[in-house]
Amino acid sequence: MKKDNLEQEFVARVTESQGIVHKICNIYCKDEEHRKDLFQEILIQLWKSYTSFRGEAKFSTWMYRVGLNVAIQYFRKGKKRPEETELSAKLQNLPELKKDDSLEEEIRLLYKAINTLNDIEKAIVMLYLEEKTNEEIAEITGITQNYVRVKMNRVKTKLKKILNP
Amino acid sequence: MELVELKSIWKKANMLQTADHEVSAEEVHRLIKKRSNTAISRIKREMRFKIWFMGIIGVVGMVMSPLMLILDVEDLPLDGILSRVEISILYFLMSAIIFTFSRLIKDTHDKISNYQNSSSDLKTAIEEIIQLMHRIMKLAVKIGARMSTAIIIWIAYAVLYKNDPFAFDLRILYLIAIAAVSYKLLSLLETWVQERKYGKYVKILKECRDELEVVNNDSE
Repeated sequence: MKKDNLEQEFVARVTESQGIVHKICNIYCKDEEHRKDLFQEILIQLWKSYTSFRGEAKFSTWMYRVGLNVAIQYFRKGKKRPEETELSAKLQNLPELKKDDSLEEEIRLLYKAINTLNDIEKAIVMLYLEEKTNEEIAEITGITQNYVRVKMNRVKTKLKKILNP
Repeated sequence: MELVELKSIWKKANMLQTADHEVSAEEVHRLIKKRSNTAISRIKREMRFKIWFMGIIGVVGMVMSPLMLILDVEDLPLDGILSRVEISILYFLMSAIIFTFSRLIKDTHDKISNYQNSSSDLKTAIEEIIQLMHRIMKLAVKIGARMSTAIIIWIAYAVLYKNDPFAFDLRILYLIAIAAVSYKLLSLLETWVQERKYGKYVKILKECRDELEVVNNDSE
């Protein structure tokens, strides 16, 4: 396939599935600037490795895999590594949320709980929240399904403690 | 709040956030043309410069060194200590070494490209990048220490053999001692520089790898 056609195809598919990239950025980035940078880095890496995507895995699984790799290895010179996620100011100002204070509080609590996890746990919990099966989580992270179960149980215990102190 | 509830909250939060940040196809086009700023991409860019710079110096040096014998170049460094043939051989060897180093950097650069073009799972990708980082750091120590030692030896040689012609005497031992000590010290210094530069990054990656391996051990 010609490079231009390949690029068109890639852009169309990524634009359609960009939600995956946004979710990764939201969970790993503290502020808007980091979020934008990470979003761009993930897109660049997705494009670089697009030729190696042969459809053996689902497109979304491949996107999670590449996106999480970049998020975990993302480290910019002179900038502190993003450590915790906050709701962006924009999100807090969304009218839908203003109408529903309890939802805003629940989202805040969700992110507060996620922020206590390390990078790997964040990846696993995000895939769990995305309703990925243990098989898919294993495929994305490279650990066996048994290990995913063990890790997931540990993360759930951790989250329960935070959510129900 | 129960864990099952988290899934629905997560969905709602992402619906709102994604809608807020959604980008167009044109924007995706624009973003993929931008320069990557990840640590590994920056290292790759630095390497490209070194490949060209050292490659050109190496080739020019190898071409020029036999020409020194033909052309009557005046006041070459080491004149009076070494004969023109010896100087020519020395320059040729140094240029060849520089050229070899540029090929070694190219080899590592290609390995980074292969890594970037692949899409391994998280655990494999972290292991690959740690190995690449070690390779990059070792290569930098090797090149830095060897090239600096060569320059020190050259200077020491020029000083030791300034007045008396070359002979197999105590000065050879001095040169060997200077070479050994310089190489050791410069290796330590370069290792420290590389640790300062990339140590923190490698440490974070190792923590992530260990986190995935702890799981393996736990379930065994």
